[in-house]
Amino acid sequence: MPGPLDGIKVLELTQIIAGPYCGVALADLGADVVKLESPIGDASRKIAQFAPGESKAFHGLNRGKRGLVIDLSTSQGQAVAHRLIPGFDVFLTNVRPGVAERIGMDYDTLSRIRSDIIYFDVTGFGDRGPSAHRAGSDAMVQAYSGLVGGDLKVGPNGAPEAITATAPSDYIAALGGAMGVCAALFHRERTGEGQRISGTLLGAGLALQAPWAGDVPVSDAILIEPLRQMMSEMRESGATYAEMIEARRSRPNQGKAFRIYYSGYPVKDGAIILGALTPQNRDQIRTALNITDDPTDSPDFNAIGPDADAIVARVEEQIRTKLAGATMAEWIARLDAVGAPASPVNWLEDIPDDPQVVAMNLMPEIEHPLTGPERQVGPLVTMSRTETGTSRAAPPLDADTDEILREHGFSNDEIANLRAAGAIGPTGPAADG
Amino acid sequence: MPGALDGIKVLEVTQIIAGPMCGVMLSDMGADVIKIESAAGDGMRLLGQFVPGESKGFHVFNRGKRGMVLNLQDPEGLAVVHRLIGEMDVFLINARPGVPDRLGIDYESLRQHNPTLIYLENTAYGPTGPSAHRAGADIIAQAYSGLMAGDEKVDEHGGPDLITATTPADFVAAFTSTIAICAALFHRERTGEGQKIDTSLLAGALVLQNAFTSRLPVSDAIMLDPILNGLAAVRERGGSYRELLGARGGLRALVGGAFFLYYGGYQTSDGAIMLGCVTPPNRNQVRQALGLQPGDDPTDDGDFNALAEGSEEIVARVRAQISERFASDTTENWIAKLDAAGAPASQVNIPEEMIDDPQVQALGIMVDLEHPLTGPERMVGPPFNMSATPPQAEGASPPLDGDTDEVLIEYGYSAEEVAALRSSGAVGLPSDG
Repeated sequence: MPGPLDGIKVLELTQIIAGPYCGVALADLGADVVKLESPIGDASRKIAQFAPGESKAFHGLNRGKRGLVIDLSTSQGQAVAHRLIPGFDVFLTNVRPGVAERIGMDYDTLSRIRSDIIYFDVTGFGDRGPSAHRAGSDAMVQAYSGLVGGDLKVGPNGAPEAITATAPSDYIAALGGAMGVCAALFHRERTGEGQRISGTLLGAGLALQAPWAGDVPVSDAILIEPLRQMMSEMRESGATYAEMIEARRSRPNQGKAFRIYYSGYPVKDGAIILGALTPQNRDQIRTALNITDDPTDSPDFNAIGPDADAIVARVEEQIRTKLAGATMAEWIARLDAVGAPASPVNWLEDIPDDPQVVAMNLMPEIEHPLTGPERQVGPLVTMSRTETGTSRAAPPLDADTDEILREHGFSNDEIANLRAAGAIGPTGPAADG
Repeated sequence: MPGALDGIKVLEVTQIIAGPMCGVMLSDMGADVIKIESAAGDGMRLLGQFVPGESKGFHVFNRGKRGMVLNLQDPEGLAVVHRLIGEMDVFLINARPGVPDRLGIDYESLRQHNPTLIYLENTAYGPTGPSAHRAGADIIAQAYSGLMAGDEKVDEHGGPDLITATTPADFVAAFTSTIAICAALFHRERTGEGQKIDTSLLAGALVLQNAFTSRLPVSDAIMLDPILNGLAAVRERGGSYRELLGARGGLRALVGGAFFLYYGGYQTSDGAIMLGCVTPPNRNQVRQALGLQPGDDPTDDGDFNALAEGSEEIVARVRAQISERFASDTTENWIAKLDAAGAPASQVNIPEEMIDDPQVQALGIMVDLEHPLTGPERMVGPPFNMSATPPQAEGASPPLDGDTDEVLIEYGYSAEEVAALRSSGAVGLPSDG
């Protein structure tokens, strides 16, 4: 079964996560994706590399692609890239603002070569505004967009800590790009028109916080304005970051009762998480824990009243004591039996062998030409009529340069000349042979 | 300019975030989205409500849609869905597994009324496997997938603490669902075929960690197997959640400690700053801005071995040096110096204050809407732009039962039929009279 993007050709000039994962998502949907690297390769090849130029991160973020090396700092290299463009439907890039123009890979240049090209670019802060020129990476956009402050993590020295479990704004920007590309392909199919899609890590970081970043005056007057006021006064009085986070964490708010049943608790042999969203969910948990005197869901409970904190603390303590009395497996069985949302807190390192992950085939095995068999997180979705997923591993640097150039009409002699001139292929030890 | 999905009709039976946010993005790209709710309404209406049935979260995740109330347990209410679905292109649902079948709105039932329908079902764990039937929520997927443990947050009782800055699994599920729908529309345009798409919170949460989750024997022998052995040993002796985190953190800190010197937060004389370096040139820019001398920091030297004895002390010494420099000046001054050197760095912002940020305003990320009940509001708009088919927010979220009559009449019901359905309780809110 072919994928929904079967036959679509994608060229990407990408690095780290936001660009590369967009390419993976498109490859999983059946597109033929070619990754264009500079002679030194994508920097993520070197982050915790386990063989020269091969890292786990690069493998995960570039599976399903073929690899091409062109030196775009040379005019000869740019000419090669421009000659390839008519054969591609989609171009992806996440280079720094201004770089695409400098190396002749900007939308205006490429759309003159192929008028219906679909061009996606993602930058940290966009192409206008006071921060347009600034470098961008996930951690700094986490900080800029409010994600770091909202995650309430403070390091041992009182310094802010980013979300470390993932790179949220990078991934959301990548997914937004894949969405835009698919919608643009649909539009091109109906009208013949190509277009430019632009995303920012900042926009992605804010999209992830849409409910908090918004401004709904009628609601904010009660819940948000006092918080804004408090933060601004603390800043004025020279409060430290840790003090501000603590004030934010402990402020009175309606959500405290909600958080009793939407939170983690230690159990005998580890920890579990309760994930109740509705009064029904909370009743299920109360049944499983045999809690009979919790007033927080009764209509006359006032979440911001004077007794609220004490009541919430009492119920929380009751839950904490009960949960500490049995094991993870025992509690999950009891909570599952009443239909309540709960989960053990798993370790990422155990995940590939988790029975649910195995049953859903979420981590299929693929074979890397240099480093052998590996299991990688597979496609985002399954589709009943169009296959998703890929059997190809991430390309070694320069792996498919010759093949791709031949496919696009370059002769063997031309390829040899380009290689000798350094316009294609890697630099360093690999080129010495 | 019409959006990329101009003319596409979407019907959704969704709740909370994962399903509703998908509907928002389809609406942003020009689709006509109708949300079906029960008379009780989406549970999200009650989370932090500021007037009855209206919450900030509901407004954010349902902007741009029209709303109708149907009683799907009433055969007449179900018949309305079956009559509307013939003219729909897309159907979205994120109910508990089994609910669509019980209600008669599963894929097999609906495709009988519309063979080219694109049907998307989002669940917590996916349609098969030992956990398929279990209840889910974002926090559950965070815990189950490893995201929570990976974020290494521990509450004051030693229990796991969730990522609070966003609901990562819900958002990724929403984005992946939208990508798949756009790809399926493209496929339908080329072949005339509709299909069913399955997405899960679990798959989305794993995608967010794909750089770390994979199994890659050559690399794992050095970096992963020792972690797994350490975790097993702590579990064996009944160690606490905090001890488990410690067992996981030790080796990772050793391998990644140098990386996190320049990818993490520091305190300044008046607050905090976040560095986001991913490459050696980035790190050199920071060293230059901080005035570190060659020799002060050997961690990027070719012969530095992160696993060698004494490397931990070197990293700690460099960290102390960097901390001391940052503590000597204000955030604003450091940002200016780091920007001048081209290094990725950011102040740590507070989410509730992002609305007034000059960069956010310059990019036009926020959109101004007018809600029929609660007045003007400003919220996060589409996270990317498209040059030929710009996405745009279509309007505010619907009040419960806001557009039931209008939609029914648009799809061929007479005023008498609507009145009869309403009085029988098949559509609309129960009348008090």
